[in-house]
Amino acid sequence: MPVNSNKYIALRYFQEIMTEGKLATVYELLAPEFIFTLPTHPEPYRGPDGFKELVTMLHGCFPDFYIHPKDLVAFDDMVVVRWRGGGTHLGGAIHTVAGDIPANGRGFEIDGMSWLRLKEGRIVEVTGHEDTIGMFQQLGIMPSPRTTTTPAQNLAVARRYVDELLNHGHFAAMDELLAEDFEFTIPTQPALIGRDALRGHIAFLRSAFTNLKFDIVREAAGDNLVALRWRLTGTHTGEFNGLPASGNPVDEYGIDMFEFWNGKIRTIHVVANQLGLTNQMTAHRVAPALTPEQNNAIAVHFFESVWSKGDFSVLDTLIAPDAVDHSTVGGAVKSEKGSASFRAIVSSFRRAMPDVTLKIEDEVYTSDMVAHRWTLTGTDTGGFMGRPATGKRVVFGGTTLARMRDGKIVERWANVDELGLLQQLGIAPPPPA
Amino acid sequence: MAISYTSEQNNAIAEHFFESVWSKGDFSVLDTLVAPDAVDHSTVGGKAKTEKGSASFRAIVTMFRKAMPDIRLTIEQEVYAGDKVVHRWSLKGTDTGGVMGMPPSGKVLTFTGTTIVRMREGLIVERWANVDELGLLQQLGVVPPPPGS
Repeated sequence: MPVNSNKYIALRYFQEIMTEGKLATVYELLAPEFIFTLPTHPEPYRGPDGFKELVTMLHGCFPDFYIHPKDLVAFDDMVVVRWRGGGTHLGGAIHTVAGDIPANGRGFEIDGMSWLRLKEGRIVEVTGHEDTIGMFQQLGIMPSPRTTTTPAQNLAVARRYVDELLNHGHFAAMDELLAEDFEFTIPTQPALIGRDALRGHIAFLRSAFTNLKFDIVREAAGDNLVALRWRLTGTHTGEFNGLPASGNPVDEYGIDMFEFWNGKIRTIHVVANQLGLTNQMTAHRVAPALTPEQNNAIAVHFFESVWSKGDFSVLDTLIAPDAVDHSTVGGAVKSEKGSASFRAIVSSFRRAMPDVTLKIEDEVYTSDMVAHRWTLTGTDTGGFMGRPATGKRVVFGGTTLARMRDGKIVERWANVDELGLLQQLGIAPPPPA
Repeated sequence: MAISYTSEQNNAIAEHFFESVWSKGDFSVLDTLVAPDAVDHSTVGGKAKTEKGSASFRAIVTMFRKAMPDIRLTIEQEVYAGDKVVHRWSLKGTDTGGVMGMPPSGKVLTFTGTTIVRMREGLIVERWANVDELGLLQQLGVVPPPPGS
């Protein structure tokens, strides 16, 4: 018999027989010679018929009785299972070595282990140990009765954990949401025991990631368990798991499994895509390419600042030092580097026409290129090209192409109606009528 | 039913149009690729603004091709998006026929310009141009050369 098949049979034993109380499965999975031994019971239960009585008694006493397998070890013809099991005492009196205990509405959840032996696909023997003292204490001696909560109520608490504790760092609800013996496990670090340890962990997480946000993308709740699949987003602005702040955005997924006790979270098991998160935190971030719209907005700001406002600071901040000016304004093809040639042109025009204003008449942009058709309007109060001021109001047009890189102008081409300007100023002869 | 053209198709049509007219002297595209109600906003040659149809453009090209029969257009830069196409171009030719009624200089002339056209259903419906006419006139010696040259 393959080992994994035995594990599967063991899981069915706990789920279908112990938790669901399905008596048909008792006869399907248990061999006729089956023997169930629990040290607290003086006489073992023998055969499917005998074991059926135990199952019926348990579900009679505890209508919500359950056993949740936690770890399984399979070896030869054996499977050993560590589990947690419990229920609420709402039904008949329970027969124990300590005598009959009548129903009182209290609940219990305890640790246990069972050693199963199988033969030809059937269970022939179960020998178990369980925390009988814990069960007795919880059912009769412990001062606080167990609060039974529905899966929906547990889910609401798990959501509050995500929203109030993780997303907002509001620790006021800590005691209300978490059991005193709270335990948190995640593969990347030692288990956190207690509320204070979790408080420290969340504070650390929130300092490592700006705008930290967990969004619940899936939910499941059943018995005393709740599972949430979440998406984590934020910006890695502080040290995390030994990785220095990268400024990188992070976006990853994981699952939290919550175990409830008395309506409070007793354990959280977390498994997340830590490798993906690590890759995102260590990735060399490439500056996102600007959109054509962003490029155009920068170019509009640049030309309006320089021409209409005389704000020359943008010549340094928005023209790359290695920018090339291909324009022929002023006569020659220059192909000069940097912003000096443009500064000289604008300076001379603004000296001649201090009231000069630029109007962008049309804009066409795609990819890294921006084209502007514009007009300049101003009054010649300063004089052009060393000539006396004419006092004339002049209007002339041009078209400029700019190539952008990383938010700066790196190439510029311009065609300007200089002849029209000179004609208006009377420097060049007027056009033929 | 109107056919929707991509900006790439618009650019290809505009390229074909300008190269046919300027470099090949194929004026048939003036009728087939310019809408009858097209508006020419350009002020090249000192003309008044916003003329309808292709007559003004035909006159300009005719004049330049008479002056420089070997004239060639080179499109240096293209930017196109939506219904707009922007071309930065240069024209180069030998002045054997005389520019703008002047006697032939025999010089090889080069000048640049930028043209924007708006396309509609595969036809040019608006055109704007800025041309370095001053540079052209300086090469012809009509206006003084730029300082420092």
